[in-house]
Amino acid sequence: MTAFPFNGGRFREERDPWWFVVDPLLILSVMAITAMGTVLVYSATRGPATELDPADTSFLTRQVFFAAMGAGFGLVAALVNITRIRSLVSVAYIGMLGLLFGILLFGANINGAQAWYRVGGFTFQPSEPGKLVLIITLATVFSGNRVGFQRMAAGLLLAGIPIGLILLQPDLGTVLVYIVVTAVMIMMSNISMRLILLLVLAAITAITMIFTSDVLEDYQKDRLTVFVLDEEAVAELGADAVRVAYNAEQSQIAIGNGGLTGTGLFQGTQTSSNLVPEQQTDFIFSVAGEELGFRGAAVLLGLFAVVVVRIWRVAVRASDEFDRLLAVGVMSMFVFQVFQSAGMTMGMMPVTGIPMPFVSYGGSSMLTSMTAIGLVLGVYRRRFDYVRP
Amino acid sequence: MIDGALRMRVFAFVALVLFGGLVARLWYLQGLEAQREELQQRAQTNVLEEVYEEAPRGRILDRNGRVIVDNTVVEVVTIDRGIVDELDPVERDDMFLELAIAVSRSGRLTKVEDIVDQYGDRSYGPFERVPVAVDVNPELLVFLGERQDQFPGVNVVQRTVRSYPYGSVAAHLLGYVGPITRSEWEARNTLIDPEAAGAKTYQLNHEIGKTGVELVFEDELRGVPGTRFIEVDASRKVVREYDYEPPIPGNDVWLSIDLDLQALAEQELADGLATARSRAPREGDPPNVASAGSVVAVDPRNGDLLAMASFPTYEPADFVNGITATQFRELTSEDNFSPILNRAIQGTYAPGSTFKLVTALAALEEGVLGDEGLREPTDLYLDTGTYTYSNCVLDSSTCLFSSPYTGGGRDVDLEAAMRVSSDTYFYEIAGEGFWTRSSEPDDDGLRPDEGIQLWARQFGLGTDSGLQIPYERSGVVPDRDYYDRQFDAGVFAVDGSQWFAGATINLSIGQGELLVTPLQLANSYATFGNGGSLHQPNVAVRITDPDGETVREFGPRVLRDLDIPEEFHAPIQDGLLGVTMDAGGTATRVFGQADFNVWNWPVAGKTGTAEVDDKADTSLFAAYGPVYRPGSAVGADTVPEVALSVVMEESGFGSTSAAPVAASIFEHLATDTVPVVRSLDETARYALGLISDDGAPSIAQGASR
Repeated sequence: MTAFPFNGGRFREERDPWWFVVDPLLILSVMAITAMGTVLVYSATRGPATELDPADTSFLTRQVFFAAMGAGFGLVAALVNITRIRSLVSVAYIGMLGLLFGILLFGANINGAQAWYRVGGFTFQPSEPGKLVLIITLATVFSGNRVGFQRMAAGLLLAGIPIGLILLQPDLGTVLVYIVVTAVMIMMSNISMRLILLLVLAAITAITMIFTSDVLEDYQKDRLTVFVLDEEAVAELGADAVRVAYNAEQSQIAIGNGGLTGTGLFQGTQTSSNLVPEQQTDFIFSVAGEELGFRGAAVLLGLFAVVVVRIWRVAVRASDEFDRLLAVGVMSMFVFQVFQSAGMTMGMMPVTGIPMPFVSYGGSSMLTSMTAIGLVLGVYRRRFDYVRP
Repeated sequence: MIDGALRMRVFAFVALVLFGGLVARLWYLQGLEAQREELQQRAQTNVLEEVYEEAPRGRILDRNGRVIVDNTVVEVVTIDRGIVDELDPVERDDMFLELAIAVSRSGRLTKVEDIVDQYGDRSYGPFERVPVAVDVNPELLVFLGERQDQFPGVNVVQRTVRSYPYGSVAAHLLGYVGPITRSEWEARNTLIDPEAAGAKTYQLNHEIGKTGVELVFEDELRGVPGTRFIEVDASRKVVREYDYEPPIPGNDVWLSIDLDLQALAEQELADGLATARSRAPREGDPPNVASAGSVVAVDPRNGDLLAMASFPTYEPADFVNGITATQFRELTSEDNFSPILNRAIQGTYAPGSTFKLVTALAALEEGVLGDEGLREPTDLYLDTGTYTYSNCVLDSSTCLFSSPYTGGGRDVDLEAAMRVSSDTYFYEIAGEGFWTRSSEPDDDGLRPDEGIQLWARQFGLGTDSGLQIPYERSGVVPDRDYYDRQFDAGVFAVDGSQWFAGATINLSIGQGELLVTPLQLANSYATFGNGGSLHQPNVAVRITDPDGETVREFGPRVLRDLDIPEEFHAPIQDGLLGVTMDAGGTATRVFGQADFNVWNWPVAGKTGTAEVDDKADTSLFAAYGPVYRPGSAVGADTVPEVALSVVMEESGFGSTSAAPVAASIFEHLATDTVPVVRSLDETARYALGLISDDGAPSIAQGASR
């Protein structure tokens, strides 16, 4: 008996049209988001673009290159035999731990976090593909029969090790992604309500302990709380908190400045005068808000909603438990990253930078997001296969 | 247990609610009119301004850690441009007039034009406080503070400036600071990455070392400016301070000089020049103007510069509050003998007989004296007072070289020729020795007949010493190549092919085109004194950070080791010792009159008297000590500790003017009685009876001797 009414048990028919095999709406939405993102990255990085100082196109060309390479990765991920991926999961997991550990020794420090390897002219952030390794690992652990306490604990342990390593970098934003993905996958697995309640209680205890102990540095706690405080309370926390609050405020000013219609592409004053930090990466949504206005930014969010809904649709049609959890993991990753990165620029979430999928500048993020979509398309392709015993 | 399908639906619902939240917030920021207008207003107006705060410069200390250049806090009247700009122009001019009156009345004369000029100085940013009067009476703080309505935007703030506890001591070496010029600013900015942490960036109203140690060690002395980020609105009013990085003071530079020895050298030089000035010249000779000179002391063991005096001197404190054009003209005017000039490295002089050290060594090294040469160094030569060049083509007076200052008719060997300073002995070395050799370049490109020049260069003459104090001159070692270059440059009427016997003969006694700096002279004697190691002189021994931790240390830097065999060294050094110790020595009488027994601290030295056209002679003395000499009180393991050069312009014989100055300095070194110099503050307290004669323990501890 399966706990979930899979749409399986049916063989794929020869006469099934191609759109039964791929999900065109999902692919088109991702392409549209990527195109918008590339333009926004260019706007954030082109510089003043005067006659004397021509527009900087280096970020643009690299982002286009990443997107094309990402599409290739996604294609491979969609076509690869899933049993091969599953057989390699332990190797991938150990490799990820090795990379995350090695980064603490050999990594490059950018903006205060030791999260990157420097390879040639590029930087590589292993915690990005690590998300996919985590999703596949947890999908493997939680698929099959009921998830009891032992398997839940095993999953938590497997997620906890990379989370600890990333916390040492420290990269708080990515840690949050890992935690959210793990939590959602546990709750969406074949687990009893009792264990979920237990887990929620444990989580509340853990959060309380983290905020009262010194696992996190004071400035990290400040960053998590600063967005709900008023100016005076922020000032009391010191220079770093003031800076973070300032960044968040400038970002909101940028978005407000866009109004309904936006200032027009390349016309954002907040964008061009560099008042918002990390604009091509973590704060990219503020560029969308300022230059494209409510209409453009809402369209961007709408496209993300389409992507998320389509992934959900793939999940409920998955042919087995592993595939379903794989899609659920990818979906939770996208939902949280979009909510966090857009919410941060609008003062809804703390300033802990994570990239907005397909939009933020960066190869690691782009390749990871594209590969994730490829994995989801693979799930969709396999949905007529047998239910595995 | 909730069904899996339901859970999936709850998950989808949560995801969509989150997206809905994002869109709602987006609408709140962009769609709602009130919120949007407020944010758009702020986007148009808010700008971050960066205001810089200059860091205190590092201090300059002597080798024993006594502070020669310090910082002091002075009161500065400033005007806040942001506020004063808003005033009605008439009101503003009235206020400037009132301010000038108030500042002048408090004791610092200030013209209205000065204030207006400063106010209009565009090197200050719109949010900076522009200083209009520096080092004012602190009472102005209260006076102006009580009248803020009368003087809007005027403040009295404190600023650190350079202070010189020992007045003019070592002024030339220290150099001075001044406001950075636009060209200096541009040059510096190309070297600085302003994004780098701890970048020592400059603003156009900041100070920079202009010369001397202040310039050489600018990168160390300069601190990291503090930055204040302020947010300003459309009306250019400060909304709030956003971030503040306090300035980091610069590093301290420990000089190699000994403050007491420096002060002694300056005092003895000034006294010696005054004495020379009062001495009447011989009948028909130009007067002893004796208004300029230099004393340099280096440590032969490691090349440390111990003292560097130049006369006349100036007060570096005059530069602190800005120097007027008139003042600066006075400092550079030749009528005042250019006090700004550091004669120790910028004055070039014919070395006269002090150069015989080089000629003698060249003769031994190149074989002009010895088995194959004219004679053994111990053989006697009859000094008749004149020398006639034997191969002379013209029977004219140009072939006759006379010795103006030594009586003829004596037999001298090399040692005696050095001791009594026989010119003809060296004329013959040049004329019959070097000049008879081939002028064809050998395998190394050296002309055998230019052996004296070769050894002059070996001693570091003709090139700058590498002290690295700016504007050092390299002097001249004349030879055919030099003539060629001067001819090509249109300076000389003849080229190298016209180099003639007389030029080499004049060179042998340090006359002709040969020019050296006092530092080169002292360094060449240090080189001979230590057995042949030519050091690149050090001016600093270490750099320490504001916490007192050593950042860098400077050790001896040997430029080259000269190969001076003992049998060459001994006769020359014997001659030099004889100059101060033996009968007939040109400085024996002077050292005999000094208040110490030279046999307790033997000095190897040489007098020099260099002729200068239409002027009184340059008086020179160069020496090193203590030197081991059999029969003296010092042990055989004695090594020279100090090499000294004294150069006095238009002061007559080396033996009468320069030698006494040197003897007096050696006297204090030998008897360990270099006076402890007091800072101006201590002198004042001493005069008031606040400290006793043997008091000032803080200074006594710091002193080296």
